[in-house]
Amino acid sequence: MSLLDVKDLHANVGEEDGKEILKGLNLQIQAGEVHAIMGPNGSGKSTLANVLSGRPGYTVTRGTLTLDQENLCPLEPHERAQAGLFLAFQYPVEIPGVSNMEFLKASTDSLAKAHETEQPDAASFIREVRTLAETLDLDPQFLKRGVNEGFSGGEKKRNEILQLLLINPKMAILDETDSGLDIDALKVVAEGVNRYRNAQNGVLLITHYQRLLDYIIPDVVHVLADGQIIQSGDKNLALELEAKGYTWLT
Amino acid sequence: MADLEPIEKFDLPDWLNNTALAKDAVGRYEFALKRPARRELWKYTPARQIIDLRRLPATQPLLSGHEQAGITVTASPACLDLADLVSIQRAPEAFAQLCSQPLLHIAVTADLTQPVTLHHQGNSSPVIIDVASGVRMTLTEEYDNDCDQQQTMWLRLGTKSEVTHARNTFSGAALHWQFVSVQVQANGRYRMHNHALASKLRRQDTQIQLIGSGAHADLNSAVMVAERLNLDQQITIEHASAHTHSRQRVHNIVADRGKSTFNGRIHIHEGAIKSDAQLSNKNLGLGANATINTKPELEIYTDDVSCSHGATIGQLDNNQLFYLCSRGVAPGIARRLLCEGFLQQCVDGPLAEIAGPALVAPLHDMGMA
Repeated sequence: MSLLDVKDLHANVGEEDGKEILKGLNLQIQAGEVHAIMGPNGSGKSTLANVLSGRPGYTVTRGTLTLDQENLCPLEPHERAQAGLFLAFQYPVEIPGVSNMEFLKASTDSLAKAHETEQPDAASFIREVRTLAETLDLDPQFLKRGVNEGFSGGEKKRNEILQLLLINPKMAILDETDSGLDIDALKVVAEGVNRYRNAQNGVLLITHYQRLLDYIIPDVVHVLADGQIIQSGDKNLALELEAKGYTWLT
Repeated sequence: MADLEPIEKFDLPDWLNNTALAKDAVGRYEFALKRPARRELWKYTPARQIIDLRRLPATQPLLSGHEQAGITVTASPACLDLADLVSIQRAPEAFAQLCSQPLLHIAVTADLTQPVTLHHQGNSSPVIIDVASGVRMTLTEEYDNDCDQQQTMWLRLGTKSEVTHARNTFSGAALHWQFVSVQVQANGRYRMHNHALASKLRRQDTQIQLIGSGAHADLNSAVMVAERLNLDQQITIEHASAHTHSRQRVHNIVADRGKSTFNGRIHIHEGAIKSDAQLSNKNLGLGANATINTKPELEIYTDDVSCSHGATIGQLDNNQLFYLCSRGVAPGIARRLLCEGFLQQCVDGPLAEIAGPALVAPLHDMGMA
């Protein structure tokens, strides 16, 4: 049984009569696997991430989405997160006035409540977050500042990885996490993702470039074009795409 | 405006006798009330209910921190030279209050190690505070009674003095008027931290005059207007001298069927070159029927100044909301966090720890728990 199972997914931007972006997408990710999705601009990569996470403004018109056998379609975004889905944003949002630490505590408390587990006490929680921040080369002072407020592009992406490691979801979707990163930040982010990987969880990497896949080795690489997966292969497919582009496939 | 009429009885207090101010005071008062600027100040709020608060008997606020060295408190002093501070023209309504009640005078002549706190028991006697040159003090105000009430206060800062003034207005008074007038001499610094909930009708008038070179004023204000309540803020900062600076940051949240009014006026006088003034008013409406009136104003009568002012009215940001929810936070809690964050940007100063939770308490009644 797949950890993430997407079958015949059709989705529009906007309401039911909106423009169809995903046109019968199928994707199965087993526990312990890393899948990469590559594709040209406008192929539907970010739409897939948004539809999976339940972002308002998209409508699923056909197909099924399940995570660990739980139907995601009727769930609100926070319920999908509580079911074990995590989206690392391409453009993490700034929230002035809400400190990073406060935000992280609200998140872990909400997840603990949903899972009926004990909420971490404040002192041990702060210790854990600070330790994680240090391993990601994030200054602990960032935890006191507003969420992503005034962070550089690299700091925002590292903050996403910090959340990934803290929440430890079943399934992580990374939407172009490598965009805007210098090579050192890319390595830090990749190390964080590799630390998260284990036999029980899954990763879906959405990326434009092969470079990220030098550091996070995928089990499967897919090519998305015009709302469908048109080709799948091993990590060598990414190298081939880097050399040839997408035109030979479309 | 027809309801803004002179009070029936107008007896000048003894300490105003034989001053320039006392001369033809009644005539000047009537004239001031009829000026078009007065009409603007009362455009969104019925004046009569607020002005009538002066008829209530006043009591002196309870003081704490007044037994330190360097502070002298006098009830109804025989003589005060306040002609330059207490202006009929600028604040006729407050002037009338000053004339109808005994006053409390606080003189601060040395740095204070502890804050001075005014615990208002309801309708308060007018308070006049003189801070000597080079002296630093912290002033806080708290409101211990839910009856209808008003407070008027005049603050006079000497050269190079510094006053931090924090005010937590969370009382349940249905009608409440707070008037503060501040004068800052050369290189003096005045900081106000205003945190307030709305009431049936709460009116906050703040008038700051920067009258010496290098005078500086900071004003941070965070306000929560719950359903069906009102709050009206009128803030004027006058840059009357060169090299004066002011910073204003005002964040208001207005729930459905609540109403807020903000009128922030910056007045750069002729000759006040190198003045630097910034004003930002941001408003968050939480319902389709929230009413938000905002008017930042700049009046500049000289060249070579740096001024900016702006106002925004909006709703909770859907991208921020989705970001929080994508981390498992339920929508109600996410909305509360965003509201808290919006206000928290303007919560600061010695009363901030109490102000933060009190300001967002009404959110629990709106299902944001």
